[in-house]
Amino acid sequence: MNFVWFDYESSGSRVNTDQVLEGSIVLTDDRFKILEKKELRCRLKNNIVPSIGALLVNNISVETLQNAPLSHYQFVLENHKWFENFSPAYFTGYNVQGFDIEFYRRMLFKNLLPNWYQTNTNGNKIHDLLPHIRVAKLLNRNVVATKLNAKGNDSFRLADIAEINNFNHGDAHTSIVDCLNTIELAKRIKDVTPDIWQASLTTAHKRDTEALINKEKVFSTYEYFYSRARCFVNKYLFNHPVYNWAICWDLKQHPKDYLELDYSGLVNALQKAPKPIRTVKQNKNPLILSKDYGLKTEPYSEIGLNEIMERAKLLDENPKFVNSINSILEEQAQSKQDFDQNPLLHEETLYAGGINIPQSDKLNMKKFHEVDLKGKLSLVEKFTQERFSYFAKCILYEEYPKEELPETIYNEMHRHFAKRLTSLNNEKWETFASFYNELDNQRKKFEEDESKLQILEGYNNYVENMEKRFINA
Amino acid sequence: MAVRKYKPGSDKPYTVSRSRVQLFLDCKRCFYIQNRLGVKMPKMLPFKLNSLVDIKVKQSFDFAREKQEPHQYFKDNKYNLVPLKHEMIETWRENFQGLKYHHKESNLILQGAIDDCVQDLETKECSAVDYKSTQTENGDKVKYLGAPWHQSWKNQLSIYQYLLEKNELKISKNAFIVFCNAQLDDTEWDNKLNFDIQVIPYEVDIDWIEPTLLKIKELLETKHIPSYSEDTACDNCRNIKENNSLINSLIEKSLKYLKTGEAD
Repeated sequence: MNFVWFDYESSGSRVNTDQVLEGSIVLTDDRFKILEKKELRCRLKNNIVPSIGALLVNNISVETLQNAPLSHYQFVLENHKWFENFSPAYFTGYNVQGFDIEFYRRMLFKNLLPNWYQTNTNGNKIHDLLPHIRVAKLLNRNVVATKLNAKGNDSFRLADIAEINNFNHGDAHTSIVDCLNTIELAKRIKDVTPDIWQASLTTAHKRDTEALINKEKVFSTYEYFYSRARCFVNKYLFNHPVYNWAICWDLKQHPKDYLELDYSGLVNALQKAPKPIRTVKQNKNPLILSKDYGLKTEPYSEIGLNEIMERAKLLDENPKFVNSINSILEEQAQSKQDFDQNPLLHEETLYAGGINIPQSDKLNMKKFHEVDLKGKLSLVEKFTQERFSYFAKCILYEEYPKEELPETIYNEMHRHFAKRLTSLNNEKWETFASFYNELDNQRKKFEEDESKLQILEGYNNYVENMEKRFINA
Repeated sequence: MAVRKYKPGSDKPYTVSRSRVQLFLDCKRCFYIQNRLGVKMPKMLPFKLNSLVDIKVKQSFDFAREKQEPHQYFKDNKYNLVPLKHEMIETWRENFQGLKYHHKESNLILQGAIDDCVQDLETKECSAVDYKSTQTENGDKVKYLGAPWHQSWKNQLSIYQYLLEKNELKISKNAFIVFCNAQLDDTEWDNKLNFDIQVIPYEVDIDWIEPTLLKIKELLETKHIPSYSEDTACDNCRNIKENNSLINSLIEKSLKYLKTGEAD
């Protein structure tokens, strides 16, 4: 299968309320031969305040924010079209699970393109290089050179890896360079640690991961915390009763130490470090290797295969104990859900709103992209879900000049965004106040750097002009 | 139905066609059943219309071969390659004949019939050509050869290119698919099909072929039938497995009835 390498540069890191500004898509075959390369740029929406931190990392100029060739809506349609053309494929990149995929899904969701699971349906799979390079480095120090950070740990920042390994594709943090650097890194993993590469592809879809876990039962997995990749030899127990993740027992803990505990004793014991319960998220492209890998590392190597399998057997022989763990996890999840009752913005309801979209809404979404302004306006109130009507109005507000829109829609949306952007509270989006606060911090940081100060001044002028449009709404 | 099968320990070279190599890659169990036990796989329905398109395209390549000029499809795609004139070309294009190569290490004869072969008259490099005809709404993206089933097309081209080289032709890194996609439109049927044609290059990978022949040989020599494929990748295996399990459960129920007189 082919690979679609992609990377976004955005106005900030809040996936629900920030927007993409630049994206690159590179299609390669399974031997990394480049078949197509697309670079897309779009203007900043008229209702988004950018994060200065993000802009300084991306090096996106005010000129680009104002004059890029595409509007955000056009960018999304174009991006969606290319992903469709390149399917089926592995959709891959560097930390795409944590950022780019989530960003892309919301781009589709908020722009009324109903197949927001495009990258993991119809034969598509999601693959992420970041967790795999961490494990590859753990198992083979020679896979790629890394810089060491202040604490003496390997730095897995793509920019650092590209620099120290002389990837030479250009300045990091432009989306095309990040894509090419990621491809370069993938070649290294495949060449030096082919077993890791192969294993990384076998869990690129939830269904495949589940099949693998069910087949292996006892296997090695890797987690990354406190700046280090760590190996676990796990026994699969069951799927989480609420979240459906694979719940496993870390076999370095002997189950006999837990079997005799009463229910509340078990609740406490499960929360104590080192935690015996490990979670494998099947849809996050986890690296799953045979137990032999883990048995080469401490403390599993000392425990030995026979003892490991005995412990696994003990769990199989105690279904009541396993059921108790299931109940504990269910109760904990329920109480967390009861606790998280804050109202959500429409932008935050991608997952909370359920995966089933009414057929009539789907049809209206399709029509919405095909018809002219008059047609679009007639569809706004036809959606059965309020969030879709809201997104339709957002697109109209962002895409069309005030003069072309009905006053009611323009005023409703303008006031809505004015209220958001002029808020003085700590919000889920960038406000004028948070922008100026960050600006002051950056000015202090770069007080000796004239060129940076000039760039900051440009962003300041841009946002000040923007603010004037909203201040008296 | 019995088919030719491999005899373990035999000195006689055993022929594996490129489609059997693909069967080996797809499902070791089915490959073994066919090649070692001699049980033929279920036949596919003949695709007569597709075959007819192949014949017509072949004929049109023959005209270009006669004139030693690039076929129009290749001209349209700016490939200055002409259909190869070679005394063996007819044999190489004939089913059950085709290109052959005796791989001595495995003592297997690899065989594959090409649809055609084109040559760069300057460099003398040759490229295998395979015609594919179908009807799909997603014709535009076929050129990326990204769907899982396109892997067998890539393997096919790689084997052809390997065989051409082993038959002492200088080969290009690229082989080609001539993809004929019948167009579906709203106009009234006038007894004609129109095709959108794409010439799709593929940079072949022949490194896997010889190691695969050795693995095939190893499997043919083994006494144990491979287990059912773990996933549902092989339709034949899945079908047989499910049928067997159904039959087994019926037998068990019948035995129970005979023993106890109780029926579920």
